[in-house]
Amino acid sequence: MRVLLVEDDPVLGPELKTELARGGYAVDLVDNGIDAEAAGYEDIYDLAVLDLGLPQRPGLEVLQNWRRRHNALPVLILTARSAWQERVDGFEAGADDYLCKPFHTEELLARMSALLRRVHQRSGSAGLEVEGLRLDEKTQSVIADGGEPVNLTGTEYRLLRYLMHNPGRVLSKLQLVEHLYDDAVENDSNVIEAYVKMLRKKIGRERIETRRGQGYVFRP
Amino acid sequence: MKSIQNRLNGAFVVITLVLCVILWLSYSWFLRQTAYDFVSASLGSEAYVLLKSVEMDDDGGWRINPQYVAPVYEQPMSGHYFQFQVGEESKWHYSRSLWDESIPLEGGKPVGDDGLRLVDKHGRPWLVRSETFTKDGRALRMLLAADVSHIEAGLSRLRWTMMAVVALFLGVMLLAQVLVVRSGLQSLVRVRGQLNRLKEGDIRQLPDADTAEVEPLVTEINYLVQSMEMRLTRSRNALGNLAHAAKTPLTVLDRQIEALAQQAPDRAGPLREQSLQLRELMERELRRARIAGAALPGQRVFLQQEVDKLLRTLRAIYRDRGLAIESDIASGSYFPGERDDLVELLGNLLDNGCKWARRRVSIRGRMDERCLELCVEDDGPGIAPQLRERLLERGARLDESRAGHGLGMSIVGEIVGQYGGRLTLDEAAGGGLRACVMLPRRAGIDLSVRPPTP
Repeated sequence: MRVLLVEDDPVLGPELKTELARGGYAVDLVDNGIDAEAAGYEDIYDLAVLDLGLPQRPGLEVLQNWRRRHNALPVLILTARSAWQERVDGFEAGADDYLCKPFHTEELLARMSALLRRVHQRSGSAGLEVEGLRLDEKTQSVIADGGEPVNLTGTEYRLLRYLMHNPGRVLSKLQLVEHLYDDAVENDSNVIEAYVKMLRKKIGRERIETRRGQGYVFRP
Repeated sequence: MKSIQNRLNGAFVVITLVLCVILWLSYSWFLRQTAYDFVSASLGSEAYVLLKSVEMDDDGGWRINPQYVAPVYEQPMSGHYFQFQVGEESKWHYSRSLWDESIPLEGGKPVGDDGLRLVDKHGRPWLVRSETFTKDGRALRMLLAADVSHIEAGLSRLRWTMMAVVALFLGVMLLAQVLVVRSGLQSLVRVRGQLNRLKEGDIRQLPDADTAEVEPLVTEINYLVQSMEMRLTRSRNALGNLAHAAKTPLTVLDRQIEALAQQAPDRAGPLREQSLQLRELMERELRRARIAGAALPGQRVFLQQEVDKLLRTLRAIYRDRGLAIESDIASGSYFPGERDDLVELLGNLLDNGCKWARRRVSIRGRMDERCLELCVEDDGPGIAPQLRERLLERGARLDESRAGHGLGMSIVGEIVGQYGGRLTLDEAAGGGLRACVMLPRRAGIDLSVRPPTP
């Protein structure tokens, strides 16, 4: 899952980026409204965490512009503005969730995964579960068919979560790279093959199908 | 309270009345004087005629030749009298009309010049003129008198007539004055009506005045309303910026504390406590500072629209809870105040409801002549009566695990207080909490005291 993090605070931004990365997200940090809006149009983000008080262009305007151009990118507003009118304005502008500062990282992570589940029409509050395969977001482990939890490495976790959020969809290697890594990391799409291979060992071969020349499909 | 109209009319009545009385008095004095002068003149010419007719009779006495004397002097009590005395003799000669009376030689009230006197003779006013002539080398003193009671009667009749005319005149003038004053004050009366509409939120600015005297007042009021609005917006923005500026570092601090907690939990504990307090204090004060209150006139926020938006927001926030959030707002109900205040008020009430509700939260809005009533009900566990009071207290929390509960309620209380309204908590039909807010529609309606329950 790749996240667009828009935060102008020079301390909070990088720190948050580190923590979100620890939570298994590929994060691109943007610190102003104009760059944020432009980045939002790139079709590589699964979620945006948007601050409202931004230099150059207010966050609310960025969001309104996205929605006006039918950009359905899930947006979680993370702001110091806590008045109800501001929350209403945020949701009316098209936000999917609204979290007030100061906040705890755990809460932000929980809201983010809840939002992602909701976007991909997965109900239930206790983690991600697709046809007997259960992903524990806290421990970053997977349980297959009620068995023992199997630990995943950071990249395996991110790959599996992205696959589970998009079951039945053909996902190209490039697409997977885009959603698993942020801009800072130079990645050869061939590493995906290696990770798919390792993941297949942990959850069973048949769950990830290879489509030659196209990519992979997660079979629920 | 003094009324300009009454004062103008009162002053007019007093001044006109004084002027009329002076006019009336001087006019009747003048008339009387003229009448007396006239009588005096005729008495004077009469005296000369009489002087001519005075002659010495055969035995050396003096008499009047009746041939020359006007018949009125011959008729008893005719109202025209004379008497005379010649030389040093003490004997007075009287006209027949005097019968057995005589004209008083002295006394009476002097009127005008020529030694004219007004004498009261058995209740009738006599005007007496005395003349002294020299006839055949002897002094001849003559007194003439005229009964002027008919003049007095005429004068008094005239006085009453005049009084009636003056009264009529005064009435007409007063009526005219009232009309003039009223039309002159019309623009003030209009401004008063417009001010009421401004207060009720019908209009946001006073329309331009058509009177030069009222125009600066209207301009000034409009300017004040506008600058208050601008100041409110500005301070809101400043607060928003302050909140933003302060909360982000606070978030960073919190993270540092959490990081520290990993290594030295005993050192992080007190820090965390302080940070929490600071955060709550800031949140509370910022929210309080945002309340505009009923200070700003000219506002009317229709409920339905705001409630709809708020419910969309709450449904989004509590999407995972699957709550049924319903609204029942009487059409046309409006909030007599500032939009952000309404949204903050309802947001907190509804948020509270949503936090505690099992399945259902509802909001009901009703408006009558005096006030707007808003009730939010949930089907949660409710609150014990003795604890409800505590919840209304500032920042008191009943359940620490659900953050911000008490703060929300204290903000609600704060807003309600600023609008002179009343907040009550009781049990909903389903056992949950029902929070009702009553807000006066106009300033001056006090709802802060609970009316006796019927």
